[in-house]
Amino acid sequence: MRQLLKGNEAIVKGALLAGCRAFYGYPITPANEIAEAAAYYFPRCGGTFLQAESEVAAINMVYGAASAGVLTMTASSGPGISLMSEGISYLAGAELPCVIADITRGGPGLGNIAPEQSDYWQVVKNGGHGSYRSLVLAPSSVQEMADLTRLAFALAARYRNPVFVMADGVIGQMMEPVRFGEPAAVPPRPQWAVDGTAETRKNLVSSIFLQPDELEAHIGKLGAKYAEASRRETRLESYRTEDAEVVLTGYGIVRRILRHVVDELRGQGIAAGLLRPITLFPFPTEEFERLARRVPLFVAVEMSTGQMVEDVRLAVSGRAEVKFYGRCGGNLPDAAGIVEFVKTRLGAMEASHA
Amino acid sequence: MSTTANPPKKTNRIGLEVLNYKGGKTTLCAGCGHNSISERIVEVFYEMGIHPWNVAKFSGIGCSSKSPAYFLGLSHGFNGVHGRAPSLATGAMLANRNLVGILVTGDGDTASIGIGQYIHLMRRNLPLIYIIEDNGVYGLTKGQFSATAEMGSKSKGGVINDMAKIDCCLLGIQLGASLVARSFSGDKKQMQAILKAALHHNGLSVIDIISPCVTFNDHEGSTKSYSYMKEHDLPIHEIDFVPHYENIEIEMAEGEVREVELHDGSQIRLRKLNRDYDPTKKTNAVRLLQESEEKGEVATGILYVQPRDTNFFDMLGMVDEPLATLPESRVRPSKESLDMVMEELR
Repeated sequence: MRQLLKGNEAIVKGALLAGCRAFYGYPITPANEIAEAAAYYFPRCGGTFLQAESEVAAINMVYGAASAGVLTMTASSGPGISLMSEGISYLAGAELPCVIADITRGGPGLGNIAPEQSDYWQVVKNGGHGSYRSLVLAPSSVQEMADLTRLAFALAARYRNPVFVMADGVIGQMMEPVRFGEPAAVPPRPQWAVDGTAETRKNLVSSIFLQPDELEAHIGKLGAKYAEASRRETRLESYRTEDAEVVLTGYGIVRRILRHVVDELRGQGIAAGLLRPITLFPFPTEEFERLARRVPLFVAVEMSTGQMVEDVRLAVSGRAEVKFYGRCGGNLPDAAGIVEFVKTRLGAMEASHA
Repeated sequence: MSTTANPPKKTNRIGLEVLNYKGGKTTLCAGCGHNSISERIVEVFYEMGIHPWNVAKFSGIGCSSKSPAYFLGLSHGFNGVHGRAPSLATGAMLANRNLVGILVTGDGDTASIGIGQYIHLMRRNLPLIYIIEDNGVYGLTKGQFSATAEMGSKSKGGVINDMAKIDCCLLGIQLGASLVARSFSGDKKQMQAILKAALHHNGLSVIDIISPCVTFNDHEGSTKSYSYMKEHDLPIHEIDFVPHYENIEIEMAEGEVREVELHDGSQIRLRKLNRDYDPTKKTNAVRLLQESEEKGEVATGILYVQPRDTNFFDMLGMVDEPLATLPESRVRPSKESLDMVMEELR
């Protein structure tokens, strides 16, 4: 059976099916429906919901719940994620699992409440201090909001690390039919958690390592974990790339536009393809590397002034041209504009090679 | 050709019309209490002859924090970060002590995310008017309870608030604010008088104004609705304000009026209503607020006032001129002070 619902609501149902039972949040547009749905469903599923006094409080409630071994989450948008950065650094440092949904809006500062993808840097590259990473999943449909939220909890538990579900305001606000899977069993309390019993008395949840050698070893352990995640968890979608002469790339709602652009360009005789990262960290670097051996032009399309494009450039590493096309401020890139941009770039390349 | 002369325009004591004190057209809901607060600010700043370009308006995030766009269009506005307006105002006012500061915030902005900053602002006696447009809900995000919602109050969706409220007036009184008042957006006269007193008070004035949200909190069962306030508002006195530049004698029966003289010679005249209330005593204010809460009443008026000779600028030992206007010759360290610093580093 399929249900028609908003992307933001799909996150909440996905979380409950994954076994999440503690939600802490603070109102912010365009993420409000997540807290609203959580306030309704969590208490009805044996869980708890609390409206915190700020995002700083919410993420620290998550920190507390995670240390007690409960699957927990919060949700916000750009300005609130900025406030949570400190707590996320502590959660990563203390190796605690949690899921954070970021329904991105326009910035910097107050910006506006229209969709943007300008949180890429603060989420994928980390807004907080220290050598840590968050795993980041980028849904591009309401179905994926549900599915990737479930995956996010599995990854958080597997790597004992914060995992983001980052979606632009379009995906958060729009409605689509969704098919939900069977609920997962609420996992048993992990052995490292503290639960007030004599057996867990020895457990210590901490991010402090005063001796330089100890901290260096700890950071090394975190790094090894992220390397393992890069090997095992990288996810991407490849569409008509095998014979492509130009590869477009984008995530979230942009991926939906780019699939249309690829078909349109193919109709005009241009061999275009789409490489869409599903995980923004780990980034699908190897696939970009592989394609860059053959494909001369990559076009990154984002709802920002160009953030993910830096990771594309790093992956392509000078083997091919990387161009950027973006809109921001709440505007969406339009298919016709992207088609024209790609044709102009291809034309310029041919002219320079002639 | 018309020969009719235009009637002379009505102006205040500095020659400005009321038009000079207006702002942009409101985008808040029709009937929102915040709109009537903006109107009172326009009237009072006009009437008291405040130079609008000397006023700095501060706000955070929320419906309330949008409202500075709707009054004093000739003034300077600073729409800041959610819950951080107290520090923004502190920074700006210290940089230019000549500014007349007015901060407009809401119950979410102040009592939840900004409570830490609010508490520390109370301790400082910064000359600033701090207005809380208090409706008990987050309006911009569609009606979640705020921390000033009374326990037992019902949301539009039928949920009962089961958490204790934060009384920003009680906090302010306990933490050092030197003028604390509560009013109701439906009581024009009281709001005007309180705003006038705040404009002449040498220190921090906190004014918590119950300002109903017509969209999300004006239904039966809400304790911040128009009808609830009309039934439960209990003014503790009638307030007249006499600025220092006017000499008005008001006939009042013996024992019926209490006068509080402010730093600049202005007078707050409080006419007794149903009780004799001395607002200069902190214990009276705390008792009044606690007793009213027990009785389900909302006591309004000047709950507490402690006229001050000195303010935060004096406490910090600041120079009389605004820092922002000091010439380089005044801010450059002298050779003697630089020599002293170098000597300490030896």
